[in-house]
Amino acid sequence: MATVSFANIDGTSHQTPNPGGVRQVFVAIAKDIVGVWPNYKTQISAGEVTALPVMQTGKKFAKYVCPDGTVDVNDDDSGDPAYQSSKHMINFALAGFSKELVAELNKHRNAGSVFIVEQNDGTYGVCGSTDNPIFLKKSFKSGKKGNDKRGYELKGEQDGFMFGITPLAPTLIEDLEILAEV
Amino acid sequence: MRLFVAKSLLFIQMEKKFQLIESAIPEGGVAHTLPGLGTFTISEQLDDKFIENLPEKLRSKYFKPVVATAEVAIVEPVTETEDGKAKRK
Repeated sequence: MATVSFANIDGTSHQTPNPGGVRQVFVAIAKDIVGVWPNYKTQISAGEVTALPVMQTGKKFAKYVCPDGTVDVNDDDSGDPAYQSSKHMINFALAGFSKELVAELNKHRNAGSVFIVEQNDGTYGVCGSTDNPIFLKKSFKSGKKGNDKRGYELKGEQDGFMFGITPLAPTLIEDLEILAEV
Repeated sequence: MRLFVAKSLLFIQMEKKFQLIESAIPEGGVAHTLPGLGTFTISEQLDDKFIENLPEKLRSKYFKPVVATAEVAIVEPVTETEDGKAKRK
């Protein structure tokens, strides 16, 4: 089996800002996407996702607008040598309590999702896949008094990935169709 | 006898530079996201300057340039006869 040798790389973000955080969250139920996306063998190349998902007819990604500083995505490589794989995680919050929030979050019950997030440097990353989707678990807190945080915390994680959180090729982003804002 | 000379009038109507291609919008509408521009719904309400800044592929998919329409009214010079009726010069 051929070995892919290491290359020189500068990981210092020299003279370039490197902000943490996530700016936008897009989500689709895995069943709204046709086939496997992203496919590790055919749609991930040179460290990026090179194809957009093919959506079922009329289906689009939805955008969740979250309170500032409440979203993060993580991956974690785990396993002993010869058994290593990746785990994807996403955490975010939705403030408030309403029938709209309840109805939306009920859709996640036992339904796996795929996320695309825009990080604060403008890069987009893919979290989850249709053949290994993220299952969100919600937690609601009413708060005890006026300045407590009232709302939902959402956490999702899935392991067994062949890849970590992977950038979506910048040239594809303009073609990503999202639900129209009302 | 008095001489009346009417001026030529030219109106150019061009309220917006771009027109939405309705047939390109999927049922229920569509939004897009771009680094630095955020998420925006494609509609005829989008400002011309915003549309100009869209990538060419996206702009041409949903919008077409408005061709300036001109309305020209030319009134010929006339003369007024003694009986008060106007006739062409």
